[in-house]
This record gives sequence, C-alpha cells and structure tokens, in this order.
Amino acid sequence: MARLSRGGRSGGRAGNARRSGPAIKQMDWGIPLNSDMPTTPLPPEGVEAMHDGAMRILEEIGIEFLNEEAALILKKAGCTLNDTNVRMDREFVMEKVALAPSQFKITPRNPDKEIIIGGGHMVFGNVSSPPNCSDLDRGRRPGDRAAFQDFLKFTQYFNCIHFAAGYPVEPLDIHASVRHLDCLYDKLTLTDKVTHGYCLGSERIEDAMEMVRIAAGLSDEEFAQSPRMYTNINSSSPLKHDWPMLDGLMRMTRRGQPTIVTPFTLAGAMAPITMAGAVMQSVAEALAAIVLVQCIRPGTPTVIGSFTSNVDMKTGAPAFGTPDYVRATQMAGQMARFYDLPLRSANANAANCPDSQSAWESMNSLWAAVTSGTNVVYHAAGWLEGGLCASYEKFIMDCETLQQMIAYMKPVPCSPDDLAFDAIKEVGPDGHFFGVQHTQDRYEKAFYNPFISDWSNFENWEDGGSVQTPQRANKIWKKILEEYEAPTIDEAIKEELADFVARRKSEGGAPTDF
Amino acid sequence: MPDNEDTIILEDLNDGDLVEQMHDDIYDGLVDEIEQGTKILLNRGWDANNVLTEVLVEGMRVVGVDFRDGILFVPEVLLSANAMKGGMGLLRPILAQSDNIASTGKYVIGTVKGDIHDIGKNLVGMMLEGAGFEVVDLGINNSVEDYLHAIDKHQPHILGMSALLTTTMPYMKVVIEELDKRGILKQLHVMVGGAPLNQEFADAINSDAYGRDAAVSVELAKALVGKTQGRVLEAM
Ligand code: B12
Repeated sequence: MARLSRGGRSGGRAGNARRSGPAIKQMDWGIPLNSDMPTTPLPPEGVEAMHDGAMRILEEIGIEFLNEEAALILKKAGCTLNDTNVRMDREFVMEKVALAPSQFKITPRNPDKEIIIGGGHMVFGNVSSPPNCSDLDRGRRPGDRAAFQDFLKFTQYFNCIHFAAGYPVEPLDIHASVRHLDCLYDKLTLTDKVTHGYCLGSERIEDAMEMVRIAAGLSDEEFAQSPRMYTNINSSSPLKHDWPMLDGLMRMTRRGQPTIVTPFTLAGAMAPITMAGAVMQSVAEALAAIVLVQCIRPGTPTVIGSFTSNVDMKTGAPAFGTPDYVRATQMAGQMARFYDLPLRSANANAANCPDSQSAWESMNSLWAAVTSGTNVVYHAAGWLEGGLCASYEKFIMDCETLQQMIAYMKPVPCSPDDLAFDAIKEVGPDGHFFGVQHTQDRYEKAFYNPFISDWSNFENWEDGGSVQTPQRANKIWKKILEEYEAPTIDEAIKEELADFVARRKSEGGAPTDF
Repeated sequence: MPDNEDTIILEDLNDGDLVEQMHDDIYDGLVDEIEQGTKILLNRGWDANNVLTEVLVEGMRVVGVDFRDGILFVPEVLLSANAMKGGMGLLRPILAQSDNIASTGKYVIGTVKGDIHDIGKNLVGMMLEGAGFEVVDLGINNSVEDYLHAIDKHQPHILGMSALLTTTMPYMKVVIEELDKRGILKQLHVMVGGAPLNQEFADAINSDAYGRDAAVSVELAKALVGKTQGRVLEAM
C-alpha cells in the first residue's frame, strides 16, 4: 500500500473547513470556453440553401418595420420601402452584416465581471420576464419585488451566472410606469454583473442606460465608447419588427450599446412547421434588424438570437427542450457562423414544476446550446412553464447543471501525467488507486463535485428522509439568501442612483394609460 | 379503398342519416360537403335554426370535446370550424330575416393596446366560431376607442380582451371602467384571457369571466349568452 503523504497537521476534524462552510462549494468566476466542434445537422449545401432562402425573404417578401424612423433610415441606405415593408438585396445585407464584430466585451460597473460575447465563449444569464414565481413553501404566486430581489441575489451569488438578464420575475406590486426604475436600482445595487434594459418604450430604455452609466461612474462619452450593458428584442414573427423594440434598438445603438435580436419563431404557429423553414425565417428577421444597427452606427456589436421551437399542435402552446428545438438551435448555430455573428439561445422547458420533465427539457436546451456553439444563454436558470414562472428551486437545480456544463467544457488534458502509466504500473492487477500518490495529489479537484446530486446508496438516502432534488434545492436557496453579501458600491454613486430614481418617479417615469 | 365504395351521395340519405353524415363531415372538416348538406336540408323544408343547432352546432360540440381532450390537432379544428362557417354562410341570411337569433351569439374579440400577442386569442376566436358564435376579430393593439367603436357597430353579446404582458393587463381595467361609465356593462359581458392572467385578476378588474384556454372559454361564453337570453326572457 502506498504511503500517505500529508502536508502536516491541519487541525483534525475541527480544522476541516468542509464540515461547516457555505451553502454550497461553487466554482470560481470565469468565462467558459467551448472548444468542441459544433454539431452540424445541415450539410454545406443546406447552409447555402438556407442563406439563399433567407436572402430571398429579404429581397422578395420583405420585413415590416413598424417604426417610421427605422424604415426611413433603411430607405436612405438604399432599401426599398413600401409603406412599412422594407426589402433589401443580398449584397447590401452581407456588406452591412460584415460590419458587426464576431466577438466583443461588455464591462459592468465591476470590471472584474466583464464578459466576452462570441468566439468560443459561453455566458449564462438568469431567467427573464415571467409574471409568476414559485417555491415549495409558498407555492405559485404573482411576482413581487421581494421575490425579484431574491432572484437577483441568486444571480449575484452564483459564479456560473455571468450576467443579470431581464427581470427574473416581474415585480407586479410596483406600478408599470415606475417599475423599471426600481428594478434597475435593485439590479445595479444587489448585483455588479452586466445588466440588461428592456425595449418597451423610449423612457424605459433611456432610463436604463442612464442608470447603468451612473452606476459605473462614467461620463456620457465614456459610456458610449464601449459596451456597458445590452438589450434583447424579439421580432413579432412572422416578418415584423415592432415600434418599441426598434425604438430601443436605435437608442441603444446610438450610444454604442449592443442589441441581441431574437426572433421567436414557434414552428407551426408563427413560422413554417418545418424546422429548417422556421430557422430560415428567423435568420431573415434577425438580419434585417442587425442591418439597421449597422446602418446607424457601423461596428456596433449585435448578436443573432435563436428561439425556434415547436408548439403543441393540439393546443398551440409552446414547447421547449424538444428534439426539434435542439436541431433548430444547431442549425441556427451554423447560420450564425456563416454570418460570423455571436449566437444567443436559451435554457427553456415547458414543465409546470421542478420535476423530471423540467430537468430533461432544460438539459436538452443546454446541450443544444453547447452543441450549437451558442455564446449567450438566456433564461439559463430558473425558468418553468414556458416562461410563465420563475422557480426558486429550479434556479438552484439549473445552476447545478450549468456548473456541470462548465466542468464539461474544461479542456481534457492528456499529458504523460494524465495518462498515468506509472500509477497503473505501481498499482498493478491486485491493488486499488485510492492510496497511490497519483490519486493523493489530485483527488480533491479531479472530478466535478455536484452540490445537489445525492450519491448515497438507497438505505442511506431513505434514512436521511428520502429527500428529492427540489427539496434539497429548497434548503440550499434558503442558505444562500442568508449568506448573500451585497457587492460593494460607492455610497455617493448609490445616492446618485437613488436621486435619479426619485427624480424620474416625480416626473412620472414611463407614462401608462392606467 | 377504391373511390366508388367511399362515395356517399348526400341526396340519397334520409334525414337521420344525412345529419349523422354531416356531423362526421364537420369532424373531418369538409366544407363543400357541409354546404351541400345544408342546402339539401333547407330544400327538404328544414327550419334554418334547426339546421344550425342540430347539425352544425352539434357537430362542432363533438369537435370541441375532442379538442379539449387533446385528441384533435389545431389544424384539424380549424378545418372543422371552416366547414361549420361554410354552412353558417348559407344559414345567416335566412336567419337574419326571421326572428331567430342568427348565431349562438355575437362576440367581439381583440388584444389590448401595447400588446401584439395573438396566437391564443386567434385560437379562442376560431373555437367560438366553431361553436356558432359570430366573431368579430379586432386584431392586436386595441385602444378603448377601438373597443367602443366595435361595440357600437356590432352590438355584441360579449367582448373578449386578450393580454399577455404584465404591462398591458392593467389596460383591461381601463376598458372595463370606461364601459361601466357609459352604462354599456349592463348589456355586455366582458371576458378576459391570456397566459399571465388568473381568476383573481379577472375578478379584481370586474370582468364576467376568465378563459384559461379555448375550450373553457367557449363553455363560459355559451353560459354567459344563456344568461343574457334568460335576462331578455325575464324582461319580456
Ligand atoms: C409567442 C410569444 C411571443 C410572440 C407572440 C407572437 C404572436 N403573434 O402572438 C412574440 C415573439 C412576438 C412575443 C413578443 C414579446 N413577448 Co412574448 N411570449 C410568447 C409566449 C412564449 C407564448 C404565448 C402564446 O402564444 N401561447 C400559446 C397560446 C395558445 O396560449 P395563450 O396566449 O395563453 O392563450 C390561451 C389562453 O390564455 C386563453 N386566452 C388568450 N387570450 C384570450 C382572450 C380571451 C377573451 C379569452 C376568453 C381567453 C384567452 O385561451 C388561449 C388558448 O388556449 C409567452 C410565454 C408563454 N408561455 O405564454 C411569452 C410572453 C407572454 N412574452 C413576454 C414578453 C416579455 C414579450 C416581449 C416584451 C419580449 C421582448 N422583449 O421583445 C415582446 C412584447 C411584444 C408586444 N408588444 O406585445 C413575457 C410576458 C410576461 C411579462 N413580463 O409581461 C412572456 C410570459 C415570456 C417571457 N417570460 O419572457 N412573445
């Protein structure tokens, strides 16, 4: 038996930090790099055919730009404008799309949390925009600010969540006219990660940009110099871009801030029932808006989004994480590489509670992201019910799978040390590997350690109360909320933010009819 | 199967068999056959109202049940509803001349201002038509004025509003309050729907019913129209 070699005494049981310690032992912050070859369901001719079809949509059918200013910008740039219908030819499209960078960085108020979008990098953001939230203790309920803040704390806590996406749940207890102000304030104080602003009216996106600028202590010029936040817009499929989304896109672009353009082509409802057709339509819709960005401020970063899934043809309800969804995402990845644009997809499912269905549909969505070469994963943690509910337990469960994906993406070393010929020789046919020096040197970090999987045997699991995954997640999120520490922020900046919110509230925020 | 074995001459069927065949043809979404069958029954002296209720509405009732139970696909129901509409097209002018009600009821439906989600609303509209309602679809992005104008023009039994955004849901209340102010709520039922809504919200904004899906919405709509007709009878 091999000799144990310890680095001396470490205080015995009482000195073992593993016994108490934080809610979970999580991975360090870092931007994962996905170096796998992507999966390519389309042959090269397929990519060409889809590109040709997308160009024909833009040339022969056109896209409706329901925003006069946007339509006129495109007309001035040489597009054909007919009422709201904009047509553009393929040379023009390709020339403009080529101006968008294939990789860029976004720097939040804490520069250590800068993220890279594009290349082989992959970043994850929290679930966005569900009107409801749920947890095992309180059940499903309409979202409120307290829950909104809880989810922001999870977002900040987990190193595998790289950016604070849309509202993790809608705080319905805040009036819609001023909701964005309180939400942005919470996002910018409870987290220090890259944040998002909604394109749901000029005031909302302008306020979001101002607040991000204030939080980072930047002048107008400094803010406009490089990406500091981002927005994400959906097209109104089929073939339309709506007013508020285009308005927000133009405002963000003028200040150098990136837009993710994500058509939401539900095959069978808003797009052809064939996945290739639905992806092709999605590509055309996305490129049309990306062209607009490049006409306004050439070189401004843009991301092509993919959210093509099937609907339940018996009810019309959207389905996610299905085999069709996986294929659609992979095809979108092929097209994103064809246009040399970063790709966004999502971690979605249609389950009503954090059960097995939620887990396998989410896992399919995540594998779709990895195998498609996705760069930005939206809704990466917390999503249930096709986006209608944010679940506390699912957030924790998803962070487990995100960590697993990050572990999976780590390079697999294959040096002589890793091949371990000497260790194999040392142990021989009759020994075991627990005690050899090769194991002793590596055991703590050799494998990914899940924080929520239970690997005990049946009897032990039963003695422990037969606790299932959601219950384990429930315990963890409570501990995380206890442990959460707000990121530091300069008091003067915090005050300036609060003043801004107060002023904008007194001015009425974003006017509504109610 | 060779064609001749499958061919059914509708003219040759007696009334009972013809009605049964038409129920099947509605289920199979055969618009030409339904139009032909409707003409035959009318020629045989059937009352238009009976054709409507016993043949078309009854046929669609079965379709509705199988849709609710997840047996039929949306495109199939769409064809059934189209077949039903084909028959309705022939009946409506006749019904309009008599004292009969020309449909199960009149329904104005639309998505509220600021909101462009319409998949669910379209499905509800389709199923309502299938159930014999005369549906006026106002599309998306409707202001109070749009609804008022449509109510004035079409005099519906029910107004249906759809919203899928938490920022547009409150607008439903604005519409209902305006209808109330103008005394319109006395003759008009208001139904609301859309994924983020729930019964509590529907109650809080003083609507008459919340439709969680298309099948339930049709049942609720029928019940509401039943109430109106009850009210009218009581008044007489
Ligand atoms: C498809 C979809 C879209 C499509 C809509 C296309 C279209 N033509 O309708 C597109 C991509 C355009 C879109 C855009 C946006 N969307 Co959207 N969208 C959805 C999604 C995924 C599905 C909705 C749907 O069609 N469901 C299928 C149908 C069959 O179900 P349904 O609508 O619930 O309808 C049924 C019942 O509710 C009922 N019903 C519906 N209406 C009525 C009316 C009456 C009278 C009755 C009786 C019954 C009834 O019967 C229907 C049939 O069974 C939902 C999430 C979800 N799972 O619901 C998000 C969702 C509603 N969208 C959301 C958001 C945020 C947006 C955007 C703001 C995104 C953006 N940043 O650009 C924009 C807003 C655009 C706008 N101005 O309205 C959020 C809204 C929540 C919130 N926070 O307010 C959701 C919940 C998703 C999310 N988590 O982000 N969206």
